[in-house]
Amino acid sequence: MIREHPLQSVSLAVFACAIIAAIGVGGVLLTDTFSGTTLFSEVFLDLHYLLMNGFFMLAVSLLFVGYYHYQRLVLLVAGLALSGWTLAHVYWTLYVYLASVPITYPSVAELGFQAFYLLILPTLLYLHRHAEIRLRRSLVPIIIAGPVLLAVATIGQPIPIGRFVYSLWYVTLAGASLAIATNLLLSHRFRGIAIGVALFAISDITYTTIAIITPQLTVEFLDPVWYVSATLIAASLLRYEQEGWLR
Amino acid sequence: MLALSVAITVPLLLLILLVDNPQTRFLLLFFVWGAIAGFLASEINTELLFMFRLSTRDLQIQFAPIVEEFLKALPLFAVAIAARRYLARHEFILAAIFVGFGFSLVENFSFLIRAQDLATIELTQYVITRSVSTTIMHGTATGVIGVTLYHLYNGTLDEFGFWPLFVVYGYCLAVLLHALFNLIVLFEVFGRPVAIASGLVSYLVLWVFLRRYRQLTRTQPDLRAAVPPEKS
Repeated sequence: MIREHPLQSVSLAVFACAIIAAIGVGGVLLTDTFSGTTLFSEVFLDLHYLLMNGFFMLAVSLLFVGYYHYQRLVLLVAGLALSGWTLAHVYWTLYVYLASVPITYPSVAELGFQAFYLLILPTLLYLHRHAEIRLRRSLVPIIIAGPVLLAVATIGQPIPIGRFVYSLWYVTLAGASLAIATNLLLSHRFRGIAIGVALFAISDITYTTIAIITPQLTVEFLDPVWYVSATLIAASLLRYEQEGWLR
Repeated sequence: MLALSVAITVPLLLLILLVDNPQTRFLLLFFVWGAIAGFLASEINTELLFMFRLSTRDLQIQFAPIVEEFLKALPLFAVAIAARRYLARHEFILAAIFVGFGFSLVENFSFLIRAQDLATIELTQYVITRSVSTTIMHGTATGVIGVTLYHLYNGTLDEFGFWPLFVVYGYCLAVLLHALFNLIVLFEVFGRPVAIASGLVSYLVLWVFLRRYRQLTRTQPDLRAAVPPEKS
């Protein structure tokens, strides 16, 4: 009998807490929407960002501790991927609090946000090779769908060329990750990380589209999706290691 | 800035010619580049300020890190392209840190010159803060790129492939660490203690990592030699 390592239990607990926090945020946002109150922005905003960054840091720490314990490189690479996004979001949050103005889009934080996809892509492809899963060509449209959606959404909008080109690049990265994650899902293998990355990518594509066509740079209803996905990615990888699927 | 950079690089270049030990020469060369990069960064940042009508704040916390990390990393990329054998040893990581320290030396002196109006005690505090925090931050940021290239060359990440993505990641992480540090220091609400603490923690991490690399090198002197010929 394989004894469950405490790390897996902790990662599942963190994931469960993330879901509870997400439900809480969703509830408050819905209450504000239907009752016209501003409970979220006046009372819960600080706690929300503290929790969000906290969940990300926990997910990263779990993966790093997992790498230290199991010496499995895929855990380190996934942890580094999430670190990039976490650092970027910490920067983004601190900027808003310290400068008292929202950060521009794009900003230097985008380097961290895209860094997640730069490492999660090799991680997903590593899992494919490890489990001998073939990549389906039929998923290529998913990669193209993001940039096409962005291009269509921006028709007629006076958008600076630099912002548009960067957004296309970012959405393509996210779309590629979504396509490869979908491939894992369709292969019924490593579904946890596949769902985590897919949700992450969909949120990023949605955020980028909103950020480029509206002045809205904070999209609170997407935040829980990101941190639930991050904790799911960490919990899934640790479970795969525990089950011996990464050996 | 030019005078400062020259004042540091010329004596060091002359010194390099006198040094026998190739490893010491290697490290000093990277330190010299760091000092030169400090001058170049200052010129480019000033141009950016006027060309794009940036605020000083936006320059310091967004654009300067991008420019500075790229300039500091240039010799690392040059070695990775043209002289890969130097990536085999852990001293390459130390060389990356030396670039950052050389850069910071020029930057610190330029800030010191501009802070002449401060009283002696304030000036001393200012210098100590910058020497401990900013210097180590610059070394750590460039060190991140050095570590990435070192591990890529030595086969640690061979099973993942996609080398260029890891290189870009290393650069992105270096820029973000730098930008985050500048953001915290610029807004002095909790700036100085956090800056010094982060500098000291980074230094401790660097020291532990370099010690570990030295131990690994003693047990496996040339990691690349362990790779079968057909993979090299």
